[in-house]
Amino acid sequence: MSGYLVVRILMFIPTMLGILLISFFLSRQVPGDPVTQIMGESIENPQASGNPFNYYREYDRAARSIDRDIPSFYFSIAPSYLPRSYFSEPHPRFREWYLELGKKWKPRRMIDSFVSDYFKTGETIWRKSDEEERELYLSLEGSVDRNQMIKSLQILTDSFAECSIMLHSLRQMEARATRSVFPGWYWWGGENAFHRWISDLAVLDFGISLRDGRPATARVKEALIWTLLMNGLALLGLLGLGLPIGIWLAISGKSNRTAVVSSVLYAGYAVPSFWLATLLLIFFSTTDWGRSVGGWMLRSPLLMAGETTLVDRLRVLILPAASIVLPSLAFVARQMEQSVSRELGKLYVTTARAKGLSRGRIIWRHIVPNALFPVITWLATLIPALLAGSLVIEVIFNIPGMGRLMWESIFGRDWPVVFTVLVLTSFLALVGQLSADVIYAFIDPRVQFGSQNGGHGKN
Amino acid sequence: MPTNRVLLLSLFVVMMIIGGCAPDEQQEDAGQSVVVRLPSDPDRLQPELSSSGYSQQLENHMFASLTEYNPYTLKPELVLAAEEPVVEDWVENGDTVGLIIHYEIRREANWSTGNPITGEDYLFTQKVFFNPKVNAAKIRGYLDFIRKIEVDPDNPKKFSVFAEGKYFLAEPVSSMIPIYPKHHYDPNSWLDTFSLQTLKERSDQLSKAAEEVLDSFANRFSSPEYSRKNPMGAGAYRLKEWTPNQRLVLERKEDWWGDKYSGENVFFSANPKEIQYVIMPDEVGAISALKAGQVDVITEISPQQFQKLKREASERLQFMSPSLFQYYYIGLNNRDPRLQDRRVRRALMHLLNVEKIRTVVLDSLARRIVGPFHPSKSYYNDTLDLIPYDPAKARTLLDRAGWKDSNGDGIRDKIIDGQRLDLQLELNSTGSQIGEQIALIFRQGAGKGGVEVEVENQEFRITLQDMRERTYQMSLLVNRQYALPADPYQNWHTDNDRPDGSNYYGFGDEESDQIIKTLRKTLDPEKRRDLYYRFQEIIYHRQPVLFMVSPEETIVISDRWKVRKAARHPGFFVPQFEAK
Repeated sequence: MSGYLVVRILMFIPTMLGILLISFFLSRQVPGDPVTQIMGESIENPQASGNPFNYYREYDRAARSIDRDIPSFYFSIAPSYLPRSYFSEPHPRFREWYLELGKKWKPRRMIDSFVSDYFKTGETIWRKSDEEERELYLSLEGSVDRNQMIKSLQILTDSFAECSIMLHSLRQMEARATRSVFPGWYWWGGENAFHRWISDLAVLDFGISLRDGRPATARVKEALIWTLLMNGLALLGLLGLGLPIGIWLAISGKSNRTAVVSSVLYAGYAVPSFWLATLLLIFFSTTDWGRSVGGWMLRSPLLMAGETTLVDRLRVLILPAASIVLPSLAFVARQMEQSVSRELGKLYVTTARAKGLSRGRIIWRHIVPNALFPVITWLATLIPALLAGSLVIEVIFNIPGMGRLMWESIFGRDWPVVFTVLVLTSFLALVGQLSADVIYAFIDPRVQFGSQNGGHGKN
Repeated sequence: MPTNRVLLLSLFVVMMIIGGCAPDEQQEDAGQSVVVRLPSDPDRLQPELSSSGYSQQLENHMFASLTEYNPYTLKPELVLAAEEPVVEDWVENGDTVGLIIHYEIRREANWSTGNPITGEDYLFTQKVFFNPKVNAAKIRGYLDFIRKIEVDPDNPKKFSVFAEGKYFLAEPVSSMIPIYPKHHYDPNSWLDTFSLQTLKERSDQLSKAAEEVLDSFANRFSSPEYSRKNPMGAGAYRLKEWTPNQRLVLERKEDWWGDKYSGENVFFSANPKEIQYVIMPDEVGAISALKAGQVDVITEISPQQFQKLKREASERLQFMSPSLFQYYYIGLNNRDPRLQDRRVRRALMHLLNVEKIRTVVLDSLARRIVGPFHPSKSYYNDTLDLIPYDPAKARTLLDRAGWKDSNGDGIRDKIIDGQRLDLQLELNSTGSQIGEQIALIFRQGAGKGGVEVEVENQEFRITLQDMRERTYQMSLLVNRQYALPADPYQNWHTDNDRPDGSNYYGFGDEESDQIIKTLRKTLDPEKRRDLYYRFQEIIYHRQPVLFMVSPEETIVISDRWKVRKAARHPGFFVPQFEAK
């Protein structure tokens, strides 16, 4: 079994790497400009002086702070005419400019130096020049018409010596007659965003939340406590009620009493949890339905003093947990009922009866452990879900748990937090799968691991 | 039977938890503490650097500036400033290059640590903003006009701000910046080695060592230690507790310097001993908490919920709906071939049933507007008539502009540059409930004029990117303004009609540009008013965008408190709350 475990654990590494790689690149493909988000997205671009170079400088600073000023990965495969700066340029419009210049002119390093000088010199020129000169200078931006640009720069060089370097770069350029059909290979080494990110992750540095500047792990930890308690309570309720009801339904056979219980369960199953949650909230907290009966259960976590005890927390979680339990109860009870019914018809039960064992002993000692198999599988898959939280319930009852954190972070593009949760849940999903196998073996000694009897898993 | 026992035990635990909780005692200190609901957690408590609007609500009570707009009258009042600032021309070599604004800080004003508040703190605050490593791009843009600050060596309470150009906002903007205490935020005096000019103009040429110092300062300044645990300002309240995503508590400072000026203006009264902000994203939950007496103030509830609550429970609650500085409008890309013609834009205005939006979508909690300035501004041009919903007139205008339905498909078309274009327009909306309803009303109205409006729901950041790149046609937008006089330069001058600039509409001609430039240099409010009036006339005539309504804020407050309606965000002023 230990050999099997080692292999399984080693398999974690490539799986995790795959998950991280995919999610990193997906996060880069999300529409919208991440840099302007850092700068504070607003309808106004507040440059009281109207100086665009001021804005570009701020844009570059913001880009640098989130590693958008370096290539994404260790290498790039792209058209061979692209100047190298294309891959580290954060601004979409200027990336386009590099591309267009590269298509038309060569050598690439002249394009690189021309464009970077355009930004470097721009700010000085803006301060010293009059309106006409500014316009002339700005007409260079995005242009690929080399002759026109040379003309403009010649005029500007008379007043601004700084422009002569750009003029020099332009004059060095030649028209690109043909474009290679083969893509180019660009190597960036360790200076890339993925490498920085994964190196930080490797030492468990999950980064700083973009929203409030706190460590992402601190935010996750706070939310995790609430969600674990809420879902733990719900799980306890589900198993505590669902399993006995399921067993009882199976062994009682068909009767009026079981029909009533089943109907109640199905009615609960049909109720959407958000609706139930809202009803519970209004019923217990306001006097709309007569005297408020449950204000003490509800005191929302927000109104509790800073030091909260476990009991305080569990108390406010009773109703949210109930909203999760009631609609899912039918599912658990049905699972258990079916599972027990299947076992009831098996030969070992008949043997046990023939041996004269008591009814209770047959059920609890022989049937239930066997009937628990499907429940265990279900529980193992539930572990990551336990952490994922329930957004709707959390919003309605105002629980600052994982559901809300994840939702806010995804829509707020707070990647450090999103990735922390992702790493955590993927890890636990893998652990969950593994522990299910181990628990099988623990509950049922017939289950063995390794290849001695021809394969993994239970036989 | 162990399994049986485990099951019984777990049931027992559940029962214990449910049964073991005793009803809660009443809220302690009920008369002293105001509980305000916030829909989401503030991000940090650092004025001008925090990005959440909710942070600002708290910062207003924790930090203080030289002057501040009265929340009720919108007139500037002296807070840290001992008297009105003295403004004079800044003359260099015989030329007027700008303005010098002289300030003096009140003698008694000091930090809670006992240190006096001085011009050095003001200078430090500006250095923080201009430290390139601090994420403060937005405020740097607004303060760009400041050239230098000189603190009087004989009396550090006195200092002068040198502003480039005769910019009309130089005085109000420089005096309304909240001041940070230097000794608290920079105990090692790291920023002392840099002048403001170096930070502003030569920060890209600094040595590696100097950059590292700036970086260390920025990291420490932005760290949770300063931004969340230990913020310090000159306001009447200090942060007592912050449980993330749950609640924040501000407590009244006992030895606040402002008590010595008590009664001088609203900023020197701070009644509640404590202000609690509780985070409750869900509207239904917030209303329940208000009814149950757990919360005193809730805001930002939907107009329908507000009116319903008003009908149901008005005797225990107070209702306020102040009109704050914001309005809804539809931004138009005037460069788009379909929207280039003024007559088409005016026709769209006639097809937009603003009255229906006001009464149905906003349940009459809104006011119609005609131009880019909020009606509560003194320079709002009220001589301009509202443009009525009038599909017949719209059809005439479109006919005259050459848009006719030549192929009988119900949509008008026109040949432009040899190509037949249908009058089909895409409207970007964020998909909020109100946004969707407005879009629907617009779509229906437009149909009556033979214009097809397609609604595209997308995130605001995508809308903004489309607008920056000028690849949009129409966007449903909210404009938020401040108590400061408006500077139309950003949104309406042709200088900013370029990619990344914020004149997204492509508006402007020589006259409007000239007015804006003159307006920015006119310090006399009366003369400025005339310019604002003319500017609004031009906008009204050119119809670059479709102005709709200014919504009213929806505020419900427990009747435990005596309160007044405020004209500034958030619509109430907690320090003035008095227990009944």
